[in-house]
Amino acid sequence: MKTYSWKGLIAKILVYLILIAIVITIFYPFVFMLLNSFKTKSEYYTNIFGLPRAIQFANYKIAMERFDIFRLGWHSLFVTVSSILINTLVATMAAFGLSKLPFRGSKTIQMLILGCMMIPGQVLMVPVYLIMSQIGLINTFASVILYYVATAIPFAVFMLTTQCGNIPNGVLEAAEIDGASPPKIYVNIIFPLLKPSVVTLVILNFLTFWNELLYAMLFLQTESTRTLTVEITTSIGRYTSNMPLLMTGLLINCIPTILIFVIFQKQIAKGVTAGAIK
Amino acid sequence: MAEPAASKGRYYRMRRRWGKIFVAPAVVFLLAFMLIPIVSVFVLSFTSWDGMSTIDFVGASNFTNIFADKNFWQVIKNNFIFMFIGTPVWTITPLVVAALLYSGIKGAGFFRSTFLFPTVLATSVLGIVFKSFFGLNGPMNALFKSLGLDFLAINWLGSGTTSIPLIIMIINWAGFGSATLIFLAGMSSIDPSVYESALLDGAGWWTRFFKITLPMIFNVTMFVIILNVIASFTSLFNYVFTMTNGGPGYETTVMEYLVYLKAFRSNQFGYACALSVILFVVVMVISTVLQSFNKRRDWMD
Repeated sequence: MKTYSWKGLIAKILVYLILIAIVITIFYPFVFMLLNSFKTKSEYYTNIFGLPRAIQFANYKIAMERFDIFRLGWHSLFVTVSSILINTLVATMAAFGLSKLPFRGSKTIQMLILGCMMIPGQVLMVPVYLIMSQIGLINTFASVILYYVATAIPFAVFMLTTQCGNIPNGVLEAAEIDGASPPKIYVNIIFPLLKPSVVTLVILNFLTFWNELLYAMLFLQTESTRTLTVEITTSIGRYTSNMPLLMTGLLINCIPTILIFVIFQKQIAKGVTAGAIK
Repeated sequence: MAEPAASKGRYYRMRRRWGKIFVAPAVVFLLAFMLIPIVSVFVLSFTSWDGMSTIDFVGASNFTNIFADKNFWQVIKNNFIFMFIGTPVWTITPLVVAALLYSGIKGAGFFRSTFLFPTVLATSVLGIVFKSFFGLNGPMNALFKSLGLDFLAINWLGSGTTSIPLIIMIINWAGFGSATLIFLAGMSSIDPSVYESALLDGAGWWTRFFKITLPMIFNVTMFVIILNVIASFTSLFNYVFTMTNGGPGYETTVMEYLVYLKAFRSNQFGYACALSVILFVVVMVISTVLQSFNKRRDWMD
């Protein structure tokens, strides 16, 4: 839209100003936390908004020990990665079955799976906890993994079934004539073709599972199973008088997800709009 | 796709069998951790189980107790405040931002990406971050005081009247990026030729936006509205848990948090299930009502 009028130019500048202001509000909290993570406690209270005197990592060392970052981070990682792997497998298989291997009732099952997308997780708090408790899975990683997979299946199947439906039948029929059974077709044709959507889902799932609080808190209560997010969230309250340490702890928890953001921006954007384009 | 009943050939039989095998794991997961639980919630809501002793059926007394509890009505009111105030904020902000980005400026891609940054951060972490920012002696109040805006340097989390708007703004800050993307996707699916006749008639930016763009993204807008409404009932837990613990009193407690309190702080599982049922029904009714506004205006010429 070419505008040579003054009004057009002023409007454009205004738009840029607003957008840049928004970018500042987006990043400022993060920058604030980062700068303060390098300050000592006393330095912070004399100089809240300025630059740190020096970049020193004492807070990081303390945080790593106090919050047992490596061990608990490993718990989070294990839970997250396991859930992602299982979810990917189960959802791609289901998508293949629903779109290319129809059987009586598969349409109903498809609607059921999609219907589960509407169930809010908070409503299931009590029964899922009781189920896990009855089968003795509380304080094992299996409990969270199984639950995360279950909650991720509806959306994953939704995305993948559409994608899978776009695979031309001719390719599959040719493979069948060559004697390939459905499992072979799944491994050699379907899964590779679903990769783009799978990548998007993997990234979205990583963010969701790593950051999850409620169920990780309910199911993994002991020191030997707790996740990093739960630990940081629940014990950080003790450090409200030591802002720099608090900021450091919170930042450390965010490092994996921030890294993912930096590397996989495109996939995140794709995943966000996937549900909207019906 | 092949009609299973009419196709008795070997390939189709094999496909049907494998179809069931491939879909089975997903079905098992959902049955075990979604469908059975949802049924259990309804069943348990009629009991007074405490998780340890016997399950006693108490009819609808959980529900009558809930409706007689004035704290419950405070909680429901809080949810509706979040819904009625939050939804416009969380819908209009990304809409405005999307309009700005859609107006054809350079670097829209850069802005789009950076606005997504908060969505990768854990909401619980954000809750703690902003709790410390807006603490009584925190950075924000220090900033307000240094700017001479002493009246803003209050105890933000000390009462419901200030906490709720604060939480709404924080959720807005954290979530507008993804909604902006959704709006942009809707806007870019508008055929540019639609604007040509309007341009020839001399229509300015405002007219074009309000008379053409907005009506054509009606469905997308409804989608975002529904997401936001549902969020006001299902996405507040982390913020309430980390920022206010529902307090003071019940001023910032919302349904999800109340379920948590009753179940895991007072061991009243039956009561908590009754609350869950109410929450579930409310969410279902509202989203069904909202969705009925949808399909109609799909093709506007």
